[in-house]
Amino acid sequence: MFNEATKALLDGTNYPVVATTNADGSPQSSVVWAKRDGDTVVFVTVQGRRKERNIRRDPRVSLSVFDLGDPENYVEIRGRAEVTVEGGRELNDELARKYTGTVFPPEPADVVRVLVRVVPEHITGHSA
Amino acid sequence: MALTLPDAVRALIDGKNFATVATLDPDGGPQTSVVWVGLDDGELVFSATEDRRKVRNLRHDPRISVSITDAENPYRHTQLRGRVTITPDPGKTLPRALSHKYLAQDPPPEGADVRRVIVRLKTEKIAGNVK
Repeated sequence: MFNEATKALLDGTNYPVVATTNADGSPQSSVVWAKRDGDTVVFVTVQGRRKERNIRRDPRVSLSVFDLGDPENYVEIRGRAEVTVEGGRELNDELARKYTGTVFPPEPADVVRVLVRVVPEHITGHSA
Repeated sequence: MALTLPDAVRALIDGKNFATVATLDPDGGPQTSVVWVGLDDGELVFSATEDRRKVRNLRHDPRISVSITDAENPYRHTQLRGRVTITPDPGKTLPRALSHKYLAQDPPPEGADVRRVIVRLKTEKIAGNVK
């Protein structure tokens, strides 16, 4: 599903922006740490945070990622997101290692990390 | 009522940082794309051609969310939400200015039939760790 250029963008330490829709229909976007998992993209958020609430209401997301060293190289991935609690904290640590080289600092027990998996439906952009 | 952008946000916009803009497709789903941005009159602006999906989307619904990461320190980022105005850019002044800002050169020639617009953000909300 992903071509080699898209795989390289997702495997690199680049900073994708994920857009969701708010309850009033307006767009919301934020920068995330993410990685490729087979033919999907996974990232982490916190239960109750706006992005998570938005995805539960409307799972349609758009994610754009560009190469920090060569920003003309980018793709937009559109698809549907699935949220699971299982694997959230593990992925958070894995992404912290990918992006910072260390584990994520301890968090209070009431902070529930969730795993968001984007199943692509449409990929466009310079490197698509 | 548009917000005045704080200095730290202006500096991110003024730097050679790429922005990701999110708009709404007619079916209400989000669309994102990567753009060059500039600061004009204290507001974020970007250039687009009339036929681009984001322009068609913004004419339909002017609400937008813009994320900018600091290329020098990607941990720093800002998110701006608001509404846009779209004005014609017949002299294609903005693409030239942005090409000089990012690449220090003129943009590639473009056919006279390609209609450029200036998209200007009236910021209503600022989030992220640079705000």
